[in-house]
Amino acid sequence: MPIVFVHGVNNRDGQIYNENESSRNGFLREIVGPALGFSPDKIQLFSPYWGGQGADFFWKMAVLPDPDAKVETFGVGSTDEAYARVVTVIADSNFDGTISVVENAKKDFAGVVDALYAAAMAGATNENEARDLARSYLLASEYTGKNPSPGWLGTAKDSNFVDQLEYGAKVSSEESFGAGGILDSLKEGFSRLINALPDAGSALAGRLGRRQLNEVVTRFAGDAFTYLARRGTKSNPGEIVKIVRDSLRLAVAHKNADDDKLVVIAHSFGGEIVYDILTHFDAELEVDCLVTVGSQVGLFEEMKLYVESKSDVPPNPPTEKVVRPVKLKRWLNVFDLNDVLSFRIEPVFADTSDFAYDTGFGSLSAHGGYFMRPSFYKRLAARLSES
Amino acid sequence: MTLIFDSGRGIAPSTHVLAIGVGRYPHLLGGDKKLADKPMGLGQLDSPSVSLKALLDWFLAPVMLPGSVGFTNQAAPLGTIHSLASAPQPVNIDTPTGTVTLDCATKDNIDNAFTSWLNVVKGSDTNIGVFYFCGHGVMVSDHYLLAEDFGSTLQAWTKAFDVSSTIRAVEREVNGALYFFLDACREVSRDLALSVGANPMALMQADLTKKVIRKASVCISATGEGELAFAPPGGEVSRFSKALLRALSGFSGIKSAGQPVWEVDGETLASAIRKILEYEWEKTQSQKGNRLQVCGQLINGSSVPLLRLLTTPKVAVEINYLPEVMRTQYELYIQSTQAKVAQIRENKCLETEVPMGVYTVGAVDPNGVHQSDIRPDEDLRPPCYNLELGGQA
Repeated sequence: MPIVFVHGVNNRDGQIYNENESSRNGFLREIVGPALGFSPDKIQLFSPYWGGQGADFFWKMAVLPDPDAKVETFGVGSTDEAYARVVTVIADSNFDGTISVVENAKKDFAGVVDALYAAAMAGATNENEARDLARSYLLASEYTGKNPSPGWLGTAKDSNFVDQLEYGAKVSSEESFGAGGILDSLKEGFSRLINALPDAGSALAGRLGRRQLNEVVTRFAGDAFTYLARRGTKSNPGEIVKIVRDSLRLAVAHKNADDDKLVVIAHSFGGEIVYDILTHFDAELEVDCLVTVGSQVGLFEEMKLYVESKSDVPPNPPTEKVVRPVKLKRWLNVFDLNDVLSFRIEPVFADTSDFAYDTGFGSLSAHGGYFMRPSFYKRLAARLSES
Repeated sequence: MTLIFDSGRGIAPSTHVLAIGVGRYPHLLGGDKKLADKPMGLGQLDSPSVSLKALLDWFLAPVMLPGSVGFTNQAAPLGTIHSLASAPQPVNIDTPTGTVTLDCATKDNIDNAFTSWLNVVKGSDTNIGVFYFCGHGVMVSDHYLLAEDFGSTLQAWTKAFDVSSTIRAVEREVNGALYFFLDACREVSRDLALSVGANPMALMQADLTKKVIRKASVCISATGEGELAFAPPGGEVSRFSKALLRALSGFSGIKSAGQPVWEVDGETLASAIRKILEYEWEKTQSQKGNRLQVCGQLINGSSVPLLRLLTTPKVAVEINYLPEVMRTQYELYIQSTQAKVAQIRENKCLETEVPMGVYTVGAVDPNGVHQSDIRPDEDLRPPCYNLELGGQA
């Protein structure tokens, strides 16, 4: 089954982009794919990268106020990026930064386990590691569901929390004379949680979040303006349209008799790009399911900003709606009330479904948080597997 | 009891065995005592005591019942067996002098058993020392094996030992040949790597001013560096020990020139174990999704056979026909000048065991409708032979 992931704004090629892609692909393969009845190894993933055609900031966003230059030297060593992402993961969450991770787990075991895997995901450097984490997460998630307060948690320590969780959740067809590499990935994630927890509730996290939010909003505006100005025409489409459209066509070409479904997942502004393609640039392109996540597709139609948008269609909003793209069979939209950049589609488009998902993040972090949360993939898989 | 068998051969050239199986770890996950501060994700194991027992039974079989499959070496017959086991229930072994219950594999008991074993191995220049361990292992710079009481004190690693350095030490003490079989994981532990002052000691220190004097040294590990070793769930013989025992039980060996003897030395054995592990994995991985386990080996010195077999080694044969829908149209067979094994029109692989040698392998349609596929002069060598006839799946 081909799955096309169209990224949103604020994605630029580099270590973070590549690691995010590895983590996302691992979880899509291991959690979303099987829920749709496909073997993880047989899923074909396409991830068109259009960030290189997005807005270019000639002064490298020097106009952004920098609340504290020290934010840039957050920690030391090669774990900086992963660490900063973990601060983002748990900032503004329900965790209490004044107590240990284990004490937090006694209050919200499932929440801490989800954050633990998110922290481990943040450090995944390749897809195989992410797939191992995804498989382990499914077991851990099932375990926390059945054991919301396991007996060992009462005496657990930071040094053995992960060991006991992994041992309790482990379901293996074989006995191993060792722990398995997943333990070290989880321990690294736990180490990041321990270190980040006090910082996540501090002013430092606020400054980091402010910086990130500034960048997201700035790049969102930049990418959106760039796209709208340069999307081109049907006969001469712009570079961003061509990149995404060609990837969609490639995915269609990879469909076969046993594997005849095309799923498109579009994050943030990727939703607007895909909508423009399905309604104008290649309206004949058949998509079995489109999942827009943290997207503004509905907002842009409210503003009539698509090529095919018409001010008199529908004639009587809000009682009437725009019809779903003709060749799109199913459309799910996921939004987070905390995400100020995510919007609903049901009020605007007919035959669509909105689903709220609580990323657990505050407004500063929610927009980028969906694909950092292991539980998101599980929920997405459940929705997609519904007929 | 630690010394469970003594042939009474004294200093006559003999093979001396120290075999340890640790499955009960009270201070690791799932144990019944205070949990170690850093259990490294390690818990209780069902397989080691079962694997150990299978190995001991194999060594003792010819002594218990002459002629049965087991340890055979006229140049160095079985001399002594020291053994320790830790399991939820006592581990009993049938020996010529009756059933004995093995002492538990605490670090102190391992130290004592090792000292006793080393003394007997040093007794003759033509002795063979066999060291077998099945249980938890980790590694950083060296390979460390965990005793039953690992984690019982704040200095958890005092209840483990460095087998890599132990081998270097023993190589300087023993004139004869040494075989180490290490059925344990070799995963690099983050917890251990990030702990200062935690490295376990060798069972004896290696005095590097002494020369290496052993004739041969063979160390076959169950898995490669950084990898895991596995066992089926529910208390079965581990993958490595099963492959080891199969290789030792007639599925390895090279003919000694001019003699009706087939020798199994370190290289022959290591090669056979690796092939058996891969062969078994290929047969089961599609159903179970199990990970491949490939052994590692370090072989030094001369070739000193561990076994000297008096019968021709065997080859496990599996012949398939592809596409499988066509199998029922064919007779699959394997034929030598002496015998032929065949299966006619059955929807399964032809599986059999044959003595090593040169065979003709083929698939023919008894009705002569479909094209035959015949492979003459196939050189079948232990431990296994796997061939797919016909076309593509």
